[in-house]
Amino acid sequence: MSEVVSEINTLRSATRSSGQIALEIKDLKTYLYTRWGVVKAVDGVSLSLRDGECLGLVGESGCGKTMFGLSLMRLLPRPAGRIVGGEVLFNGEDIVKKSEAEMREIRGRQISMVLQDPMTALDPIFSVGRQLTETITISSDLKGPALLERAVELLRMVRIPAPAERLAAFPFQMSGGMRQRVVGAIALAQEPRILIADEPTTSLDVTTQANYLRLLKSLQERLNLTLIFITHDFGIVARVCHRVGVMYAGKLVELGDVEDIFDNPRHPYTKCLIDSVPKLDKRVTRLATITGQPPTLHDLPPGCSFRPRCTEAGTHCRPDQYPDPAMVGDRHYVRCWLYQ
Amino acid sequence: MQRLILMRLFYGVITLVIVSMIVFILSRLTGDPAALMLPLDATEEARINMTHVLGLDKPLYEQYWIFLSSAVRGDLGKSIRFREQVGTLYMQRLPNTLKLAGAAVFFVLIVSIPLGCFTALKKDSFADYGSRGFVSVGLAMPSFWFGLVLMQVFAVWLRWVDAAGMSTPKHYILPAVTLGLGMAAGMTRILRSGMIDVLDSEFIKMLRIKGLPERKVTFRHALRNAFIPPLTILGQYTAIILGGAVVVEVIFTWPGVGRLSYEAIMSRDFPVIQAVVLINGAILLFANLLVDILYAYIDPRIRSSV
Ligand SMILES: Nc1ncnc2c1ncn2[C@@H]1O[C@H](COP(=O)(O)OP(=O)(O)OP(=O)(O)O)[C@@H](O)[C@H]1O
Ligand SMILES: [Mg+2]
Repeated sequence: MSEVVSEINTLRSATRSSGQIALEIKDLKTYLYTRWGVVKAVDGVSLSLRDGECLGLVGESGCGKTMFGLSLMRLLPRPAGRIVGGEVLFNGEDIVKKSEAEMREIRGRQISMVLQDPMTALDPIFSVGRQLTETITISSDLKGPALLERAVELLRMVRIPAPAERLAAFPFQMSGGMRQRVVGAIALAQEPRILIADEPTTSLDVTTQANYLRLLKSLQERLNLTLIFITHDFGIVARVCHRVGVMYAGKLVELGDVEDIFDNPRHPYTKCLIDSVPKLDKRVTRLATITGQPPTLHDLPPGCSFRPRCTEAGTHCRPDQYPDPAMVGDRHYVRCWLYQ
Repeated sequence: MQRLILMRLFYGVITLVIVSMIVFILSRLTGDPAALMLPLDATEEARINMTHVLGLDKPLYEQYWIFLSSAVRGDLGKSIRFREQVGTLYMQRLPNTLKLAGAAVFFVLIVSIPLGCFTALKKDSFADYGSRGFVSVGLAMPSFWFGLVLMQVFAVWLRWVDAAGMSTPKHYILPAVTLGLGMAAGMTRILRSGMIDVLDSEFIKMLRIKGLPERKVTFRHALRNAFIPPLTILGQYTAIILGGAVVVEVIFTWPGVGRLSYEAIMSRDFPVIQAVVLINGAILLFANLLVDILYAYIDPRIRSSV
């Protein structure tokens, strides 16, 4: 396990974020109009991503990570979800304004996504091969043996043993780890530039998890993928990502390079999250937990939404306004009244 | 797969034997067939004679054995009313019922598949509310009443179609619609809820993520998955119609199996009733087997579990 970790660690430093801007998100707002009120799942998130960069997005359950990912794909739950503001610039064009037909050209070929649960992400009544070839033919004219060869190649790419025999298998005949690899192969089948991986390892056991992370990481480098890695596990972020964004109640409260954030977390929430990471070198450590519940995302008061749980809250926290992003270092910003 | 079919056939035969026993015993309980076949003023001697000719003086188990062994050979006895082999009588009527059943199932499918899919895709739209109204009405409407209303409106007032007979394709419309209405409503409801469930699932999201056209998402993946539960019901409905849609066939004077059973019951024609019950049992079992095979064809999980 720790071998895997150190290998990943070396992998991480291998690529640096110096490519072209792949995606630029400006003040993105995604609201869900539910029966119980408006859920501000993504509430003014701005960030930009370079080619070949890996951004980790962390935060507790329900803080809007998945909705952020789905917003980029424009596949929000219907009819509740809507992008109500902001821009997502991709190739100089705003994805938010694209038509459904234009989005279909982007989905899978340019931006792709791996969902949270591998067990349900495959159609149960189609063979793995059929699901793969179906994906390949969306954007290519491959036929017959060449098509099958490509499908086998994709399975080989995600390191599925005996890939040619696997084509005939159905999802229920595969383990969770295998299925997650197949989902990965499908997501990458059309060679997208950007991959959003939404907690792709939560339902896998630790060894499978480590293997999958290693695979994802190596694929990212080989294909020069821009990866948005969504997780609630800061430990994984440290091993895989270049940069990390911390989300709380729909807002990006801190964003910076992984080393900066780990060595010098600024936001009290980030500090709590880092404290709650189990340390691999010290075997027995009590996990620090954050007291209180994350807020529900509708009818939030205007001030900082972490304040009720914050250990460093005080008179400097203005209740009438959310703190603006403040630069606290090179490419490192935080939204907290402490740094205004 | 072959094992599944063999198992089902085995159980089917056992079920049919039990059904045949019940039919046999029930028909003995309803009265003395000999008395029915003789004129009212027949002598006691003639009655005994008749009983002997019919074999009714033999012990019950022996009678049953004769009944069963000749039934297996396809000899289901002679109709008391028509003085003809029951098998022949049944086979004369069966094609008519088959045609009607085909028309009704066709109607069910062309109504329920588009309606179920469309309303699932446009949940809570006007069309959805409209369709839900149709479903409630369709399920609640008794077919004898609906059939009569259709006949009154389209045959008597509008004169678009004839009320009875089966000589032209037009004649099929009213009975098929009458027969299919409840079924179409039920299928629409099940398909709609199935589609809503499936469309909400993760794999559908994944298909959209990879950029698959919505048409393929809906028809290739969602519909095929959603069609698994209604298949059972479709199979059962079809079997029931094949057994004879008694009410509809009587209303529209359709010379099918249902009308045959009606006539047989009305004239206490026991051999015919026995035969119809037995054959219907067999059809139901066969339809269920067919549904199981279809299931296995659609769903690989079932294919591999048997
Ligand atoms: N289909 C939906 N309809 C209405 N509200 C929803 C829906 N899906 C999610 N939400 C709400 O949106 C908010 C953000 O949810 P989201 O799934 O993005 O959280 P998350 O950060 O991905 O959490 P997790 O770590 O549990 O996956 C939550 O408050 C949730 O209650
Ligand atoms: Mg999520």
